[in-house]
Amino acid sequence: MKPVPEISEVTEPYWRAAAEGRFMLPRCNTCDGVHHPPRRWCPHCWSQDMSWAEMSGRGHVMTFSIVHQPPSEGFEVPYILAVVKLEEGPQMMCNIVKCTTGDVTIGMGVSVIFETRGDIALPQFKPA
Amino acid sequence: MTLSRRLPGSPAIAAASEIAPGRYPDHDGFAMQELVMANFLAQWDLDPSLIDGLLISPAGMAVGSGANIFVHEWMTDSLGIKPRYAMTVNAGGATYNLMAMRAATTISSGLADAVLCIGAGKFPKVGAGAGDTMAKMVSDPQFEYPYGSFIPALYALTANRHMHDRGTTREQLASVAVSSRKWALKHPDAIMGHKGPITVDDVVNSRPIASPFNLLDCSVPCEGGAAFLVARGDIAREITDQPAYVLGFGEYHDHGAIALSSDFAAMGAGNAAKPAFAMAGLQPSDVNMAQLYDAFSINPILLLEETGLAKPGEGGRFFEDGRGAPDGDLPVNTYGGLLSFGHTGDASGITMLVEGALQTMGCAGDRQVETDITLVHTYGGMMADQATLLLGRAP
Repeated sequence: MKPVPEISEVTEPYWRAAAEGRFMLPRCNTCDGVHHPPRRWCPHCWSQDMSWAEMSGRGHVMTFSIVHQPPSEGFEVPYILAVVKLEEGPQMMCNIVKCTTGDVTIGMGVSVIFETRGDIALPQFKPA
Repeated sequence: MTLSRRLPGSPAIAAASEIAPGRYPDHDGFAMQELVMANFLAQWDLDPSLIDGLLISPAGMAVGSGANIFVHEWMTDSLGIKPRYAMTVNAGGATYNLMAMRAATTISSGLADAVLCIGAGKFPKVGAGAGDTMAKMVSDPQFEYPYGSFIPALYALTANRHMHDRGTTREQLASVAVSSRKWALKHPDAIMGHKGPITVDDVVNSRPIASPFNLLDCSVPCEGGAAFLVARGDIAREITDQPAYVLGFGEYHDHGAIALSSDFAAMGAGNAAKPAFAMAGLQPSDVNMAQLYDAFSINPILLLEETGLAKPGEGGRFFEDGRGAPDGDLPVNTYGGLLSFGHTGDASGITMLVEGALQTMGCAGDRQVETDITLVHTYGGMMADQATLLLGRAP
């Protein structure tokens, strides 16, 4: 099986929301900045006063690569590794799914979709 | 005229040597480092009482075999020295440029006179779970690794964005590997030196790894290491007629996880190069030779552009036109690069520094090129830690 993330105290709300089909990130109550991955403090202003906020789930592909050699046994090739910039600002790694490898482009609009893997739901992105 | 901020005492690289890259199955981390030192001491006639500083990196991180983070203590005993400045340091591929910088500032401040810098590296063989081990080591465990963060694909994120933004072509990437192979044919120790020249077609038609990279766009995993000595200028001149003076340097640390990179079309290397040129009182046009860390074929293109040696978007054309190859106007990676000399795991970043020093000192044998000013740029992590070093024949 593909790797399953080991959830920490700080990231537990992220994964719990994902399991419920919601894409949540910490939003700073001091500077209003959103960040990913979830931290103990806001990396923009170092405030520790943050709330979890639901994201639109929309973004665009900053860059990608089509992987032809699997790093471990669980991965079926080819797959698309990408970094997506979210509408709210943060950027994150993901796979582009429900998309043939020839169709992915830089700048392409994408929306979040959840992949069930073991007991968790992993945020992924598909063409919008 | 730019005002130089060059360091007092004219610190310089006075000695450098590297063991042949290859496989050393009978040598673990510390045994590799002693092998490196035995080779260094055989080539350079040094008085132990001269050495009062030691910087060394852990060996074996990439194979996950418990790299020794107290290795400076082990080496202190092994060498029979009692330095007044010593540490085990690591910043991945940037480690050795950073060692040279730390040594230079330490010497200039009077805290040491001669700092020995040592690196040895192990690298797992590709296959046998190596891709997974390495991916795990360099990735955020929750937010990158589960997505299949295979190292060639992480570098490919940058290559694809650079091709998109700057018009770099697939063939131009391949021409970097072609150029490096030409140099490797001149180096007796280069791993791919006996494989003969390669063409752009050879690279493009080799096995696909992660788009846009094929196998020959990737550096060659192996094992090895080197040592070099940074000494105050007057001491360096007693060791060798022509030291490689440390004229300027700079560093910059952009991110940890590559997903958080500020700009995928660049590595942030310019933020290290600019202060290096300012310190040296030099311009990119003063540089005669460049040694640029090349885990993958995209990196020398990015680094040429970001250090100012080529204009943005012209790095690919530079290699396509053969300008970095033998007989080119700005030789790049004159030892064959990690692409064709070999990528010695933990020690990879020392190779281009040793080559830059040997070329500047006039000690590069059959591949010697005239150079007064040599730029060495290395990076660590997933293009995270950037380090530029300018070496020169005159202080």
